Order: sequence, then C-alpha cells, then structure tokens
Amino acid sequence: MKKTKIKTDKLNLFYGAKQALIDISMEIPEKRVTAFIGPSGCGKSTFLRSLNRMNDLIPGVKINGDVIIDDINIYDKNIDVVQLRKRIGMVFQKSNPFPKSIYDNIAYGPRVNGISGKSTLDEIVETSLIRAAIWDEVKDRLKSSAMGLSGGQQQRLCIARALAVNPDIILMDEPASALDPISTSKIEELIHELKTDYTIVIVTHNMQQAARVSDFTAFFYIGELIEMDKTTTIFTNPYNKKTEEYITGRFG
Amino acid sequence: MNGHVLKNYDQELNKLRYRLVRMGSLVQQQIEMSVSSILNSNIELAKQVMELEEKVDKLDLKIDKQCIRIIALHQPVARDLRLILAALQIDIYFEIIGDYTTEMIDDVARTIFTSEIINKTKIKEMSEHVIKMIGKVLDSFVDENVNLALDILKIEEIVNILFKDNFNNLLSLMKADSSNIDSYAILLDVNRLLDLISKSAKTIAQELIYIYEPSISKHNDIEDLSIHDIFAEKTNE
Repeated sequence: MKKTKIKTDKLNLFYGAKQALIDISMEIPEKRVTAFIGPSGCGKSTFLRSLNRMNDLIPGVKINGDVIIDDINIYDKNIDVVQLRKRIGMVFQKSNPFPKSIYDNIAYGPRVNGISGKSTLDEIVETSLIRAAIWDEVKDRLKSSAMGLSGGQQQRLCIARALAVNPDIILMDEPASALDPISTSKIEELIHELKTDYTIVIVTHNMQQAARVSDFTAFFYIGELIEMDKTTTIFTNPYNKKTEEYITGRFG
Repeated sequence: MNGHVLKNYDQELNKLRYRLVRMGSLVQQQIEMSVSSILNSNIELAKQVMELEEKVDKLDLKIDKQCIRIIALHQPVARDLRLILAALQIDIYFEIIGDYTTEMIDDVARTIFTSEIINKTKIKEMSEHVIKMIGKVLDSFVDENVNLALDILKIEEIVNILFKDNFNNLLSLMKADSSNIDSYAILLDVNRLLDLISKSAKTIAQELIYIYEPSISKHNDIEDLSIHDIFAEKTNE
C-alpha cells in the first residue's frame, strides 16, 4: 500500500447555514490518481478545493475538521497559504492561460518565487512543457501568445504551468470536460504519466474517465463520502447500493 | 433496483434477460423430451428436440450479439457488467446442454426399453433432478435469488451420487444380463449425458451467484468451497 499523502478527518464545510461537506474522512495515497465522482452538488469540487484552502476566499464559508498533508494540518493558524499552494498545483475545467506568451505563462510561477536566471527559467519552461506533453507542439513558438493555442493545448499548457513550480500534488477539477475526445485522451494519457511523480486528485463527471485514469475512486452524495475503494472494485463490485445505482446510471 | 436514466438501456437489459429465460426454458423442454423420447422410443419427440435445437442456436447468436452491442454502446459497469459477463457464460452452457440433448436422442428407437429395465436404474429420478435444476436456474435468474442458485449446487451433489450408482449398477447388469446389453449401453450413455447437463447447470448456478453475490465467490474459487461453507458464509453475513 502506498503512503498516504493527504488525510482528512471529519471535515465539515458550511456555506452560511447550508452544510456542503459532512464528516469527510479520507486517505489519498501518494503518487496515485484518485478520482472523485458523484452527481452535481454532491460536494466533490468543494472537497477538492478544501485540499488547498481555496474555499477560504469564499465569504460565509466555515470549515472544521482536519486536512493533513505530509503530517501537517493545512488549516493550522501558522500555515503560510502561499507556500502551501506552491506544493499543490491546480487545473480547472476551463483552461485559463494568462494573456501572455507561452514562455511567460510557464515562467510566471518560478519568477514569482524569485527565480530570474534566464538559463534556469529556460530549463524549467522546457522541462514543464515536456512533462505536460506539449513541448513538440509549441517549442518553435514559445514567444507566441498562449491564447492562440487550441483548447486542448491550452489545458496542457495550464498543466505545464502548474508543474513549473514543482508541486507534489495536482488537483484537477474536470480538466477534460470542455475538450474533444482526442484532446481528452491526451490529458488522460498525461495524467497516467504524471502519477509516477505526483499525487493526482481529479474531479470528473465522466465515469468512464474516472474508470480509465484513476487508481482509487471516491463516490460523494449530498455532501457525504459514500464509498472509496480501488477503482476496479468500485466499477465491478461496489460495496454500497447507492454507489452501484449511481455508476450504473440509475440516478444522477 | 430502480430503472436506468436511459430507458433504451433498460429495454436492452430486459430483452437480454427475456432471451436468456426463453433459451433456458427451451433447453429445459429439450431435456424432458429427449429423456422421454429415448426411454419410450418416441421418434416424433426426437424430431421436436431437433426443432427446439434450431431455436436454441438462434437465441445463442442473438444473445452474443446483444451482449456485444450493450458493451459497445453502454459500457456497462458493476451489476450490469456482471450480468453481461454472466449472460455470455450462461448462454454458452445452455447451448452445450442443448447439444447434449440432441446427442441423447442419437440412439432413439434403436432398442425398446421395458419398464422393468428402466426401473432397475435411477435414470428417471436423475432426469427429474436435472430438469428441476434448470427450473431453479430460471427462477433464480428471474427473482435474482442467490439461495435458489445455491440449491442447484446441492442438487448437483445428489445427481453426482445417482450418476455413480447408475454407472456401477449398469456395469453389473451388463455382465449379468448380456441379452439386454444394448439397452444398458444406451442407458449408460443417457446417465453420462444427464450428469454432464447437471454439471453445466452447476456452472450456470455459479455464474448466477457471481451476478447476485460476488462476495461469495470473490475470495475463493467456489469449486473449493463445500456447500456447507457457502451456507455458513451466507448465514454469517
């Protein structure tokens, strides 16, 4: 069994009076892909965003419980949220490149972190783009605007941008839901390759995608974690009837 | 369990269930008819077994195609996936049972059986058990009842004992009464085929258990578990 990278213990989250997450206790293994599935409004994206404290910024949100990453509770008062987010890359549903060149998109994070040497930045840009499987497509036009890339390329650029600050966790919130099947396959292939070095957590509405890319799957329903198990088990013989009904398309 | 959000997916799965039940009931009829045909030298019944065989073969092809279509179009998972996988297996074994019944009638009317000869064996009792097994296969499948599938495993043990009894008995009869050796030889063959049908029914029962209670067969090869272990496990749940 792999080491646990992220552990949550009785995590509760409230949007004002409405409770969106109820006692979520989960262990996410290191260097594996864990997928969150569940119908809209079940709390899976809220939970994902709790893992790098992105919900802190939403007015009226109250959180209690623990999120422990590498033995450190990220909700401790002394935690530097900026430093925390450096360790946790995030990729969103809609690709969001900066309106800058391809090169500057990747170099942005390292520059903010104080890296300024051209050769170092060049190396980071190249390595990140290679790791994100987009280098061959953009190496001859690094100074062109990132906005000129296709949707699938933009999404891989965003993954490269996340990798540039050298995180050890990557959170992905429906990273391929706006992409065509070929671009989706490229993202899925990339996820598969990245898990050798990174802990990946992905929220997806596409259950076949969860089945294809993840090692573990967690099923959420109305703010609760119903079941988490090996993906093979969830998709062949889930323990909970509710999980079975959802993945076989009997509600949702 | 509730229906799928996609109605045509539900319709496909229901059609598949219907075809499997139809195939099973045809095969059950074939067993009854072939045993009756051979023991009563009834050539007309033998012809009907062959007619049913054509229908069984057609259903076999339709079920195969339908399973492939469901996999390709709906990517079934969990219980639905287990149903498709089991359906592909059950379909094969029903088809094999159909073949056994046609093999049984190969020697129809080659000899006339007296009730005295038949009653010296437990062939009739054995055939009743085998027919009952197929009935339970169908009931277990329709009612999604794992206990009925477990009953089939129990009956298979009884049939196996009858098979051995018949075998030994028929060998003794052949030695002692060579004037009726043709009849005994045919009964020996019927005995063998009924045992093979019973073993096929047992395999189908195991597939049904896999659909409805995969946890029972998951951790261990069901072949290695005695009936008592399985029932004990069910009781302990």
